[in-house]
Amino acid sequence: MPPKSSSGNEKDIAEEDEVLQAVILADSFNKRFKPLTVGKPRCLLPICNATLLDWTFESLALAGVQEIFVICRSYADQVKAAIRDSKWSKPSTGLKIVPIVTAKETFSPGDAMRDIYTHQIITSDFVLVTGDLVSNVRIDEVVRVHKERRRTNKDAIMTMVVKESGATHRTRSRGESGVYVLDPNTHECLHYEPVVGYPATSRVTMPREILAEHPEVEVRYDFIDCSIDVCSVEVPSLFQDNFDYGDIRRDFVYGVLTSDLLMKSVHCYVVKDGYAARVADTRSYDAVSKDILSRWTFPLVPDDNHPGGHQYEHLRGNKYIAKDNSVSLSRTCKIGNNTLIGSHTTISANASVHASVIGQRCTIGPGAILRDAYIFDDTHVGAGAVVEGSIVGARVTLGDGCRVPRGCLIADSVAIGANAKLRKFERVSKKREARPQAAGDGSDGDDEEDSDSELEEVEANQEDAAQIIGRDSNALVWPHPSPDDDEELDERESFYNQRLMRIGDTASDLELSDGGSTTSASETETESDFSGMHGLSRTSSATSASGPLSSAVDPSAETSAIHTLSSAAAETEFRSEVAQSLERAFAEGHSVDNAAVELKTLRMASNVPLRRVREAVVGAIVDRVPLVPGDAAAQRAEIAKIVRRWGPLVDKIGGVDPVETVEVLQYHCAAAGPRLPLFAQVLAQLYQQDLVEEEDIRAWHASPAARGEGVKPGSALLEGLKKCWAIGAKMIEQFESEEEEESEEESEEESADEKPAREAPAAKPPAKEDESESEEESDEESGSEESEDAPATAKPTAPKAAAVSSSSSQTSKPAQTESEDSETDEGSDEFVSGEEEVSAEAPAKPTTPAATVSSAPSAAPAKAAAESSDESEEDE
Amino acid sequence: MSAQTQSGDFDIYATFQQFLQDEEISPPLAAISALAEAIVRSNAGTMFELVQALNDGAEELKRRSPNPISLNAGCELFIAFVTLFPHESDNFAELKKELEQQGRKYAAEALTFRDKIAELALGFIKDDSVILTHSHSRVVLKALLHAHKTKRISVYVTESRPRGLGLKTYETLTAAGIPCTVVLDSAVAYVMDRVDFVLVGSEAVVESGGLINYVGSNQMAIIAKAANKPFYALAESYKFHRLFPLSQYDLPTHNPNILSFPTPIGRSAGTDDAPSTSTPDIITKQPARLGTSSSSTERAMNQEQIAKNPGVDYTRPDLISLVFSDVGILTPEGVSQYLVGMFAG
Amino acid sequence: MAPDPTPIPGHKAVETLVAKLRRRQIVGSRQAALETVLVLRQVVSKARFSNIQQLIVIIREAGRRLVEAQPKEHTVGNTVRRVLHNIREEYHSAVKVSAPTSSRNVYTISKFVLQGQPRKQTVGAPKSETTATLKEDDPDDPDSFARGIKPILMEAIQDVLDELETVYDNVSKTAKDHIHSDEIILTIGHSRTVEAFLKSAGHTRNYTVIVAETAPSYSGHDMARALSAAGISTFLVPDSSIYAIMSRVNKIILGAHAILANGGLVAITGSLLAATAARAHSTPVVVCAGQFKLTPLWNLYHDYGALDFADPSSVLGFEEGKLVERVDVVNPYYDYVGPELVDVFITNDGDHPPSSVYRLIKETYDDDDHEL
Repeated sequence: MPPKSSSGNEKDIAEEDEVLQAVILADSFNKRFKPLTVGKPRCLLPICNATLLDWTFESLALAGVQEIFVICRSYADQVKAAIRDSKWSKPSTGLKIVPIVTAKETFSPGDAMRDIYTHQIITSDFVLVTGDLVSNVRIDEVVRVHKERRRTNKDAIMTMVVKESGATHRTRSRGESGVYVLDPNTHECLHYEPVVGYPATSRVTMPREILAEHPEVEVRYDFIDCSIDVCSVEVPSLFQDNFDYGDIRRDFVYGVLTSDLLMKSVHCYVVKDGYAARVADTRSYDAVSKDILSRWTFPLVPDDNHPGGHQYEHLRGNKYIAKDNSVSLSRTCKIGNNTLIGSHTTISANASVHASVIGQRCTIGPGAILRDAYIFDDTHVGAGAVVEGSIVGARVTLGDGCRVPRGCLIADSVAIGANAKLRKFERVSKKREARPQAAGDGSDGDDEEDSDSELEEVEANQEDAAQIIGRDSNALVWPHPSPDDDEELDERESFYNQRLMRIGDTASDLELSDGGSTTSASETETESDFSGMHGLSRTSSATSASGPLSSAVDPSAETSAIHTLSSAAAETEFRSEVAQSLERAFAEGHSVDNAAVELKTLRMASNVPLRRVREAVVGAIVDRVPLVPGDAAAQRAEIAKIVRRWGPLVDKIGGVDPVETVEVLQYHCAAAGPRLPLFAQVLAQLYQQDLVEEEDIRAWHASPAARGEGVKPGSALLEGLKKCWAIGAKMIEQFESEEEEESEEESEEESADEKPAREAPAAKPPAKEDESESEEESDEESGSEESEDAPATAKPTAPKAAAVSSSSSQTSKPAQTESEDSETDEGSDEFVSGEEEVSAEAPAKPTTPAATVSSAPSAAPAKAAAESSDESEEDE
Repeated sequence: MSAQTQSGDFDIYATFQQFLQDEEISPPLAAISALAEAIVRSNAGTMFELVQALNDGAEELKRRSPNPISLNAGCELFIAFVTLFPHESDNFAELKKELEQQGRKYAAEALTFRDKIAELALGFIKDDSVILTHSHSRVVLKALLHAHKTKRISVYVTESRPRGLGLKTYETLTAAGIPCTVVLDSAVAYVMDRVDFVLVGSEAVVESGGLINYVGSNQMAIIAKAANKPFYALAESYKFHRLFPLSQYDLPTHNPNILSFPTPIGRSAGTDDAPSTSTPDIITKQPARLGTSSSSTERAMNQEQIAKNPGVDYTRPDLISLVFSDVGILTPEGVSQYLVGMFAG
Repeated sequence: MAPDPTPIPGHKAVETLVAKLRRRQIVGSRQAALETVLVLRQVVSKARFSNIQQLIVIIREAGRRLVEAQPKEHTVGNTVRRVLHNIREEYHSAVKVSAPTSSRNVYTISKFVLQGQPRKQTVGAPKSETTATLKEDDPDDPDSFARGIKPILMEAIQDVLDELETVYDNVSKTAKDHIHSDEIILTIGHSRTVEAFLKSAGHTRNYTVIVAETAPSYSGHDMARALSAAGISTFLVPDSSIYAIMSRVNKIILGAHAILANGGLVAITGSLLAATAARAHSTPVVVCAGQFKLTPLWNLYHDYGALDFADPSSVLGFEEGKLVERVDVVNPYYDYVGPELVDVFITNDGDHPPSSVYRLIKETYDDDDHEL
């Protein structure tokens, strides 16, 4: 029995804040229950003769929730009606239930959350559940803990309720689950990786610094995700900011935990006593029903606190018979264990019922056999019919002697002819009347015409239907899903994975290696070094998990695939956004910090790698410099002004990486022809502002990127790069010389200024030349930027470059990388995305120019160096 | 005197018998009705005389009926009622009328008692239960048939020698569609483990809380106790009998003849001092009977042998789980308290 | 739900209690009883009625809702019956019935038969000497009756409340007469009543208590903790060893969830085991319980003791995934202990043998309230 304390809890919650709010997502955004959910939302499907919604309300009422918002999308009117008529809307229940209808184009929980945000209904921490929850967990307790935590740590935005269970528990979804990495002391969820059942996710990675920061770490794969989340007010706004967050676990939690910007933390509440599970698919429907019947949900059991308000008598062996003596059992019928029989139901002679749930006003014909069957209200099962492991809707008529084998779903008011023999996993729904189906399709993500077309397509192939469903039947037989028709589907919905969620499907033929989470040392090694540099980045998981075998399977790769499209848009949008915001910043003279914040949020919103931001900023700064041709001093002054003012921004955008900064600068200047000469001075300024250290410059100079490797030869960009590189080289020389004579430094600067302009032609040959030698390496470890920017070099104008690099970044997106280690699989991505001609022909082509020109340029670098040096003499 | 003469031409026993013709009427009620009749007939002028007359009538009935116990209960009840009836009325004739009305009224409404009891018992009869009952009792039948409407029950009924009334029960139940099997009285112990509880009617419920019922009930109760099965008795409140038997032999039905041993023939020939009327006709009849019975392949008791057997027996209160009556469900203790409450006024 | 003419006053209060009962947020016989009285008091105070019948109808209605909400908390029903009983008594004593309602024509044989009902002989003298100015169904002022009688009725309810509040003390009044020095007492489960009883005995006597741990709820642990804290020498033993140690036990003391009309009782699981073991060693079995636990019901579950089944998780961890699918776990919460196994009930109103429970119930409640 639940502890007395509960009532107490309610009180102190009540006093420590106004009302406890809850949000129910009454739509499931998938089509697992079709065709049962044709013409009816899933949350109104009955389980143990009470609608899922009622169970959910009861669970919440148990926790002393006072205000409930029900987010309903499909068949909203039905849901509303149901709520209005239910006992819950009576004032005496002390519940305030507000149905909220969201737009038809709400396709994911994420969209729903955004809706909540726009409605501005949430005033405090709230409980977020799905409309198919069955739970007796003391959620109020969870809320208390959550608030407790919030007091000390504002960043703990969410507490997920999870229930311990074996990895192979009937109630635990085999199709989609997750690996949780917890800190056993604080119960903070350090990492979360979604896992699909088939093809079995074989490896899961977690960033190494988790191990570094937390001496003790639990990696759990035995949790049932109750989908009860206690969220703080920020959560909906976070969804708002990241419009690509779809699923709450796969996207939101994963995103929050792996983002180096949000700095939010998510916690888990591991339920010790109490039961909670959601009816996410037909399989869990079966499991949860069984759990209810065998009283795991106590006191939420039919004979005690039935949410539908029915009265049942509990007999030995967990048999529940409606109390009001209205059930008529024939003397010879057999009622097995774990059965529930609704009122006014008749069970005729010799019928046998085992582990089944029968609704109200049903008639079970003589000699009928029901095993693991779920029969909704007002259904007639003919004499001698056999129903096994199936769900039969309301007002259905099963003809005499017809067979319904494992896994069938029969929609409402279907009539199946006598002696019909359904195949396993048959899905049958009622033929539509002439009028096009009115309300949008049930709990799947499609909108109406979509589902209509679906039905039509179903109607299309009915040729074999007749002998399946027997004569005088009004049924449509749905085509069996097959592995090949789901390429476009999110793989969670893929056929094989769905099989794991199907009622009565043992899926024993699928091999499901629960590889568990394997993190090979080496990978975590390398990746975490880099991710160390830029906080925790998706790179880590991407690199290690996308092995040759599991790359397709890898969850993160998969999620990123989802992102790819949206991110393209995000990129371009981001570009302009940044440009504008900086424009504003410069114009209105914001403080650097403000500008930085703005950028951060921007980046968060469109989720781009740090490098893009840096590019944008550096670019903006350089473009900012007014050109003062001729007058070197004035020019320098200008630059100094700008850089002094805005330089710091470069490091404020999150993650300090001078080397990259220089590189970015180089590329920008190189790309933007007219500003090429500014490179040296800007670099110098950065150096003076200590934004760039000497060794940074050396590092940059040494880097292959700096030498413009992988860039299409002969392009203007390349030349630019070369020049800049040369300047860099010169600068470094100065660093050597600096020790003895500081005085030169000055002159160095100006000399540096004039140089590039004149040197432009001179520097060309060397470029070609050392490019050619660089080609060899370029294939195996060519930096993503180079390989992709290559096509751009055709027209190296600033805007174009931007556009291109955005496209590039989209391909580079999967890894979400800003760290070099990821380039390897970047590379592999390239091959996939058909850009190999770049990297492929790269080695081939240059050979000719290399051959032709190589003789000339050999001296060039020296000469260039010489010139520059002696000119510097001249100046003095 | 006058009372005597009056009751002379009015044969109370005959009236009693004709009341008893009605299937529904049980002896106590018939007795009450008869006594009510007697009131009308009697020309008693005072309360004392009236009570006197009634007592005589009761005596008459008791004397002439073979098994007076249950009708005793009825008489007792009625007479006690009459004596305790608050009579501040001036006109004695009216009082007599009043009393007579009361008697008939009660006899009438008493017919509904069985339904009440059946309703009470329903709560104890669970779906799919197997019930053992004894002999033939209207109230038990009523309860079973009532339960049959909503519950799936099956019944074992004892043959209940020598009158074999169990068969009558069997026919009624089978006609109603209740699966029913007749078992030998001697098979009660054998069948006991199969049954969920025992349900018996009663001749009378006595002050000790014990039960007087058709012979065989006692052993049934003992076996039920041994098997830890509940033993329920159904008794209308007019069967509450102010009697405190301590053993089987305290019952009014017990006479020396019952269980008596025949005196050896040789001795009786020598000494013919036997005063008892019974012994000689035993001697005379016995040989013949024995002859016939011995000739028949299947042996059965003859009348004499049966006559030596009790018709009813007494079941101790500690063997009874509960007594269902129209005044509610009572524990045996409850019954005794009840009787005290009734007759202590 | 509510009778259409008069919707239950204090409907809200009733409904909230109903919800709490359904959700098992109120458990334990005493707490349930207390809550019920409080709600009923509200109901009566809010009720508008012009004669006693109306009031009784109202109370019955409220009571029925409560009982239906949680039939397994018997004390709810008991309290309602108790309140009804007291109210009637008060009413009768207040409205000193002018004449025994012209017995002449109503006095029939069946009435006569009903005299058999055991009754409380001593009808308590009217608490307040409100003269018989109470006029029922006063046409011009329908509320006058209510106004007149409410204070008395409130008192009546207050009595029930007081009884509940003092029940532990009153039960343990006689503790030291039942427990003697150097005795070994065995108890099971954690009954507040028993705890109070043993503690109060502990003041004067020096004895030993053996507590069975009472799986799967392990409430025995709490009991042991409480007793040892009170300085009573305490042993904690597994339930399985009850029989073995019984030979050394002088007395076993049980708490009760409800006392049934036949003198049997419903008590925490394990009680039956203990009582049977005690019987085998003919060790006296003592039951401590307040009279509010007297329930005018019969055990209809003679074939298996418990009438309430808790969740299996305390027996088998939910995480035992594989097992959960294969076995049906049953976790009865109560035992039914038959009257033949009990020697005496120690109540807040004297000690009684099982056989007299029947009479007590007849005295405490009115028959026509048994079915609410």
